[in-house]
Amino acid sequence: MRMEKTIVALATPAGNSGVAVIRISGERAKEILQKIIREDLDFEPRKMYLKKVYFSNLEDVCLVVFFPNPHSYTGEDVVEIQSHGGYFIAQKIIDELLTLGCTLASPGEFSKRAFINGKLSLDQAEGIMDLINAESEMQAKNGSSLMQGELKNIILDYQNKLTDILAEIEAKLDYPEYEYTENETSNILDTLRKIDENLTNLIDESSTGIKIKNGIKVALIGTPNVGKSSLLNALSKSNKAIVTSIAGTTRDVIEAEYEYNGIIFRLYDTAGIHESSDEVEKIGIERAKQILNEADIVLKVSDNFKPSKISTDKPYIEVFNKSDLIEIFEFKEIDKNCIFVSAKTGKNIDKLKEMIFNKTVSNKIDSNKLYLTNTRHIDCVKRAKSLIQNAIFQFNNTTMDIISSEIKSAWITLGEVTGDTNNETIIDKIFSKFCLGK
Amino acid sequence: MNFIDNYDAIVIGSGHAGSEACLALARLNKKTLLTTLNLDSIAFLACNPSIGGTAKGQLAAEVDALGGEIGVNADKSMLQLRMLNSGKGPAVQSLRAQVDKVVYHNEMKHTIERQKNLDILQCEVAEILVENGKVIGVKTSMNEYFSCKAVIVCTGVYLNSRIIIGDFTKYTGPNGYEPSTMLTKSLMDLGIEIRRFKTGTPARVDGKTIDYSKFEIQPGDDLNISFSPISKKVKNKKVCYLGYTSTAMHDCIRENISRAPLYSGKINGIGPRYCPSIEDKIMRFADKERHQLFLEPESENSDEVYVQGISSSMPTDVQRKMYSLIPGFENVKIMRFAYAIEYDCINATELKNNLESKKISGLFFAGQVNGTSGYEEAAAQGIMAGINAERYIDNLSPFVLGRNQAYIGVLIDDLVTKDIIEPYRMMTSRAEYRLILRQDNCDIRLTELGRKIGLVDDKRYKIFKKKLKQIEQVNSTLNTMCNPEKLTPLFTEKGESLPKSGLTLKECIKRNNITIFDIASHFNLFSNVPKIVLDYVNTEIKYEGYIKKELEYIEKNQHIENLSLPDIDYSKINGLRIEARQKLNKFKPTTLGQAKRIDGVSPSDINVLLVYLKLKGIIK
Repeated sequence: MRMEKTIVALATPAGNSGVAVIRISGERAKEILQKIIREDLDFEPRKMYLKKVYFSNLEDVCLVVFFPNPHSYTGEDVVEIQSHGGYFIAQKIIDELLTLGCTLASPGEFSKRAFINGKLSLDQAEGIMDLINAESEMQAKNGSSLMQGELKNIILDYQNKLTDILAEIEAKLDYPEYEYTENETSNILDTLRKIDENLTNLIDESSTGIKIKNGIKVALIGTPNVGKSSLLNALSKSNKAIVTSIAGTTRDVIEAEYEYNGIIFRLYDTAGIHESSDEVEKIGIERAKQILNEADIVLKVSDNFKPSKISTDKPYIEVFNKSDLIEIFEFKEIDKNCIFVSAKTGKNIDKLKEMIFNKTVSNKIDSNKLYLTNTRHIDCVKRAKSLIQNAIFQFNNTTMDIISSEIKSAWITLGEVTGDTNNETIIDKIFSKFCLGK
Repeated sequence: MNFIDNYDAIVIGSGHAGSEACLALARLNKKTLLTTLNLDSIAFLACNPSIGGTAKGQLAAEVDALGGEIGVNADKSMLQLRMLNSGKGPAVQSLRAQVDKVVYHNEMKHTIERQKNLDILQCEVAEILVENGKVIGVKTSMNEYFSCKAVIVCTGVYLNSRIIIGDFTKYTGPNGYEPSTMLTKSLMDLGIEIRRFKTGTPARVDGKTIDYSKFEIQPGDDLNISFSPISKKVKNKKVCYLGYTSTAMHDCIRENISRAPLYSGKINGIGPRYCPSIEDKIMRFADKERHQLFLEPESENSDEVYVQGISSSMPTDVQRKMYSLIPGFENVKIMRFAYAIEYDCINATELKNNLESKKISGLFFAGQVNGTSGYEEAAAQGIMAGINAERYIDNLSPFVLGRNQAYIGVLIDDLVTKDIIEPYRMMTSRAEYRLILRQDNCDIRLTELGRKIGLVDDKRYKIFKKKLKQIEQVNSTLNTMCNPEKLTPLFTEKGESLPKSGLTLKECIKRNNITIFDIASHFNLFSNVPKIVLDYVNTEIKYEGYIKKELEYIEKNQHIENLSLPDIDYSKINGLRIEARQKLNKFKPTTLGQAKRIDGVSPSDINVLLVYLKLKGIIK
């Protein structure tokens, strides 16, 4: 199927990088490439060419490659231009491509076209979306195993168990001469309970999955000028927060991040919480309180070895900063909740990272495991679970036709993830398992 | 061409589909001709002498509610009536009647004979005459021509049929009736795809030679109702018996398995899993030590007994031996041998959902020729084809029932969208909305529709209206509030926790251990209301939550179900799997709901279609 529009977008992340890849997909891809390099070249498929690309009175030497349909990512004609990195150059090239007839791709449009052209299945497409957005190793792993259909197999396994149960029940509903034995019904109930347990685990673990996807939120709080911004910089090894010795410098919630054991930790530096008459600072304090609410863990930062007075119901660590200023005879872990660090010298910063990790995700994440992170999948599994729980709850109080219809609905709901909702599967099972008929 | 006579419609074949089709047409004032290879085979019960069963009981009652004949005819020939699955819930309860096969045929024949606008002729139709893609008449094997605007093909298993008993094969219909040998060619010439299916039937044995003491009696239920609400209440006249096969019998079959035509390659047709032969059962389920079998009386005035469960196509000597190894059959005398039968049928996916050919206007198909099995499935298609042929002639829009309206809707939708590869039998598990498609509400679902179509006569309509009124009265009585003290004795007796405040009687029925009948006897209510009405109200109350859920589901899916599809060239949508592209181009579904059910179209294909329709701006 051909789309009317030829779309373009930056395929590499925005920001500073060595190389930027610009991707064009659609019927006019090749023609537009010829225009921007000002040469009527008949490109050999999938071969790299070194060409000058012309844009707004500038030029850049780029690598260009042409993938004719259907052997391309989207299944359409695709062109990729590798320019020198930097936001400026890539953006200017894209601007030029737009004037040459491209349309800016909307988010996910390449994958959507790939999906429509049969290059991706629905859950593969969803996996790729996750992979594209993956910032950490764990996230990438979760994204890629989804692509290989691991999730599908896990859900399919539960669905198959339900198929067996349904075949057993339906056979006896459609062939009244066969009655249930007590043994059979208690087996059905046992299996249902097991599936319920499995689905519950999948759902519980999905919150871990979502953490992998979205990162762990770490809030830094403390009175002004105890060095929260320096600590944030030390943790993320960046210079994002403006550090001065003037109290109240941080007026906004600053975000930085670091990766530890494959997990992304997002740091939120908050304005030092205190009474302030400065309007701007007041707004900052409000937002700090909001961050506190959303955080997975709170670092209470102070520089005087006195525990912070700010209370929180979140897991927290007392961080005593500026330990370099004080003679510490011997560091002892008085409390598992506190640590002496020096943002300046970097002392104990790794130890702090380990503590944060232990308090938030350790023991909860198995790096070989697959977690549900896609909201649609989680929703399907949740609905299936509640249907199965209904069936279990009603099992001894109502008739088998009702139980069966609850299980069938659960089966269909799981099928929305695996793709198998064909009733014939159950009927086939009935006849392969049971000897029925006149 | 010299036409002997001019008809509005001609129905070919007088089995269970043909009987309903010709009656519907004639009752809708179409001048109709029913042709049959043999007048003595009208509504012949070629297999078991029973009407109904799970899902089939619903089908028969639905045909009845639309103004069909199967239910009334079953009542006229009733030997025993049972309600199956009474312990397994209202969604799967079904009526089954044992009927007298001789009386069944006689009554149906007589009804057809007495019908106004309807002629019957014993003849073989050799050719369907078509001009400019439209049916114009038929030609018989004796070169007689009849003109008509519509033809309904209801040839059952009679097209080039061949029976097989071991090495013995013969081109014949069931019971020695002549097969139809010319019509297949005419259909093929018209571009209709022909396939070959197979089915089978067990032996009939002499009841005098059975030792019934080795069987368990299966009496009828004391239901005090009839199949059709317009019939008088029926009485149980005969019993059935339950028995079992033996390991000796299984050994005998295993020893002779090489002589079974199915295993020696003599049978090529595709047989149904639903009615496996005993050879099949024993080979496929080797670990099962014995199989159930049922003895059903064929007629009140005959000793012939139908042995349900023991279909076979073994040679006669093996049949004699194996039947005699059934406990109680030591001295049994076989009267008719079991046989397998092969026959030509069409691929019903070539039909529109009004059962008309997509290729030839005015050419309808109904019954076993569409690849189904069973009298009830045939009757359901027969009445629908009859109604739709009339609507075609009168230029009216097709009459199609939805999957949420009737098993008839499920049946026809399945037939025209699923590439079935074996004879199709209706099962309750095929229906998505089982709690709505119940045996007890067939009349409530369909009588009004039948009235609008014109098949529900005043008598039936009056009875229906009376029932509605009774339901209304019962419901209004049940809305009465009742104070806790009055309920205490009943609740204590039934082991229900006592209500703290007053309850309506309806709310009492929602309790697990209390039924409408408890309320009726405790408060001395509804003594003049028929049990069937109380049963209906009881189910509607007890299952209200679940019924509501199904209704909500129907509502929710209505959008996708009814989303009409434009003429799309699916081969151009590369995201669809190749199989889905081919199937969609072949069937050209008119709605997304239909596309969804086409065999070989997966949910992800439907997602691709949805994305495609969105990108094309066809849906928002």
